Amino acid sequence: MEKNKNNKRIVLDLDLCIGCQSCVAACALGYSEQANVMLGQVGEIAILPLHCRHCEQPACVEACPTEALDKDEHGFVHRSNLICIGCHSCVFACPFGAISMDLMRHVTAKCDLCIDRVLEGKIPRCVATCTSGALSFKEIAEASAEEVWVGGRISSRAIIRRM
Amino acid sequence: MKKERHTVCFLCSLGCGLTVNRGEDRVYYQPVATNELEYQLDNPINRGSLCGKSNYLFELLSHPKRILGPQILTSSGHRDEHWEKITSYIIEQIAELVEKYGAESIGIMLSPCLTVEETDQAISLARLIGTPHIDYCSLEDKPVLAKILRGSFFQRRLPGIEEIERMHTSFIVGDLFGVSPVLSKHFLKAKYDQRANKLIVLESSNSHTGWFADTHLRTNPGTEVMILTGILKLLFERTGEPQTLPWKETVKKALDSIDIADICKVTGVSLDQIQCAAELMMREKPSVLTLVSGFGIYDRADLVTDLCQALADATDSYFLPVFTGANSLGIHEAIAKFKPITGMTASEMVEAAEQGSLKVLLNFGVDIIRTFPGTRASNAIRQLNFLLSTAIFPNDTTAISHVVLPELPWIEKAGSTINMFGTRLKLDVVLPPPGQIKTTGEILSILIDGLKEKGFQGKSIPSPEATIQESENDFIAHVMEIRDLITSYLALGFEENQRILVPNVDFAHSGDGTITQYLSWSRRMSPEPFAIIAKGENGARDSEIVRIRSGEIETSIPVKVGQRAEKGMIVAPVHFPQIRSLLQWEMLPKLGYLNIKPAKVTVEFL
Repeated sequence: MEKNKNNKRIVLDLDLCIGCQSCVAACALGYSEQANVMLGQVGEIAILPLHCRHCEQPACVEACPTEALDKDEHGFVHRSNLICIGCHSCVFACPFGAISMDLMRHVTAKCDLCIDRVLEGKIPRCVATCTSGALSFKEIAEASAEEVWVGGRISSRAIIRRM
Repeated sequence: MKKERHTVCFLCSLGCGLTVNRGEDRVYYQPVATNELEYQLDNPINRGSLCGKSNYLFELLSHPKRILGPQILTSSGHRDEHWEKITSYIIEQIAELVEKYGAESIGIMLSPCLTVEETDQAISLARLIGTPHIDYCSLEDKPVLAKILRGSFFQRRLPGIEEIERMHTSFIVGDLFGVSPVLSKHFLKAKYDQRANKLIVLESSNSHTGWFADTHLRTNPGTEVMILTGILKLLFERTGEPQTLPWKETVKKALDSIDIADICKVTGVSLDQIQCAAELMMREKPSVLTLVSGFGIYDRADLVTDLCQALADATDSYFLPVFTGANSLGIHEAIAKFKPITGMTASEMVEAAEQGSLKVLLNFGVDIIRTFPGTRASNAIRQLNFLLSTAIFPNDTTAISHVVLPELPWIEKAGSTINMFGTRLKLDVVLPPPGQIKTTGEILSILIDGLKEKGFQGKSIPSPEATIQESENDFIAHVMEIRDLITSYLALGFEENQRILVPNVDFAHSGDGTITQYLSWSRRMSPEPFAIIAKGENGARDSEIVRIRSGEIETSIPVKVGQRAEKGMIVAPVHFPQIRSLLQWEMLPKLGYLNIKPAKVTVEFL
């Protein structure tokens, strides 16, 4: 494992999310009213948060024409607001739809995994505030080990059934 | 050097903890920066979680519209006044009007955002003046609280947070996850992490809580009490007599007069579903029954509370009433201990003001006009000789008050509060109040000292000898009322354009929204009123304007087509005054508070 690398990511348990959007509130509060958490709407009722995955090989970094996006030594994909020209290339490149089309102060909303807090040993704002315990901040290995079990719960009670 | 200061959120009765991590060098009027808010991950109540509103709580402190000093009403509007002058003016007014009309012409109304200590002082003030008319005003919680503290023959067992997480069955009446989203953490932990707890939800609309239900009793609006009666009846018939219920024979006899087929017909819920809920409650132990107090969601919220208590008792379950007012339990308990039988409730005080027998109202933190639906309360309090109001933000009531005093949010005051679990929480001054603002406690002690100087000595008001005890005969009477209610609902006819207006108390706001409307988060979530109707009704499309008429009141708002509403239903957020005014209400004379119910409205597409 590389030194200093952050191997933790935000994991969403689809079963637990009640769609209260408090993660969006905490994010908007922390980032001057620009929420970096996107909302994925499944059907009419289920509204689920969509977070940046901070990919191993980020497509958004490849697509950025001004090199505003960068994967740093901690494993965070972060964006320099001064260099960003708001061209939306990253929005189209992102395979998860985790970057919004909406521009605010000429830049798109991009989650930086609350770098200010994580480097101090705290958890991201959205995870801390999550009302139902659906969001967690876990080691990637730990989350993928749980996958089978989580998948089992989803198949037993899919979000599609909520509608 | 940073210092951690802890406080409690006052937007609902759960009492979530939050921390401000602020450097000593920062001065008060610098707004709380985003990196200064810290989540209390080790707090036993919320474990760091905060709802969207709570996250934005500190916005209130530096809000430009905040009332920062005392104001007095003159012919040209409100004018700022000095504290000394205004307090002596209030004392003179009270002394003069007591001499002229007697002590009983004075009423004191308290908001659920006061601390326990402030309530005690308000009671001292009432004793000194000699008036029995003191009540706290939160119409949502009132029927539920009045019932559970009445000394009824049912046992009252409150669960703790950790107990909720160990439950095998949770029966939820109302949209719990919408009103108090943080509680969902504990209920869902029981459902998924522990032993596959069964979740039964009794709610008419397709709410956020309903998504997670294993059994969703989607009853017709206003018929919740009938489903509860049906479950209780089935408990007797199918699973043998519940051993834990007192006066089994009498209760059984009363329930025999109700036909379960009528219940199925009027509620639209099948017998299988009611029976499934009854069996789960009986067999899957331990269980908890949660009742969310709702504004205008239930018809006869008092009977709903009664039946919930009976059901909890019959199945040996915990009973958790959830309130929207922050310190509802603490204030109501204090007043219930003091209050003589002759004292008027908040609703009766408004009625007395209308009739002219109440001349003075000392209102600590309530927006009376917004709280009461319709225009009656507004007309009534305009007739008062003297109206004192305290508030954090200007509202409709402060606009017509003779004296307006600033109120402080909990972040700026010390004291204690009691949350819905009956836990006493301590409040510390996290940030000092701006300028010369006095706390309600300080204002009350100035008034008490001033009135003592004026020669007030206090009149002994006989406190009730014992709390009003409900007997088995009362329960039989309640069951008879439910039977009449079923008959009236069976006879209810609908024309083509008529629907039932179901209020929704959604994530963006809680209670009447008098405070939360100032949060930018609330404005972002629901900037303006709207109504949700079911898909395929009248071929309506999103944003189409609809005119809703209830009696003489009507309003035109855009519609959203959504699955939240069922056919024959129109769902609208109740914190908007124009929607609140559409609800229908009547006074329950014996109990002294309002029955606010889902209204039958006429809907026209423009």
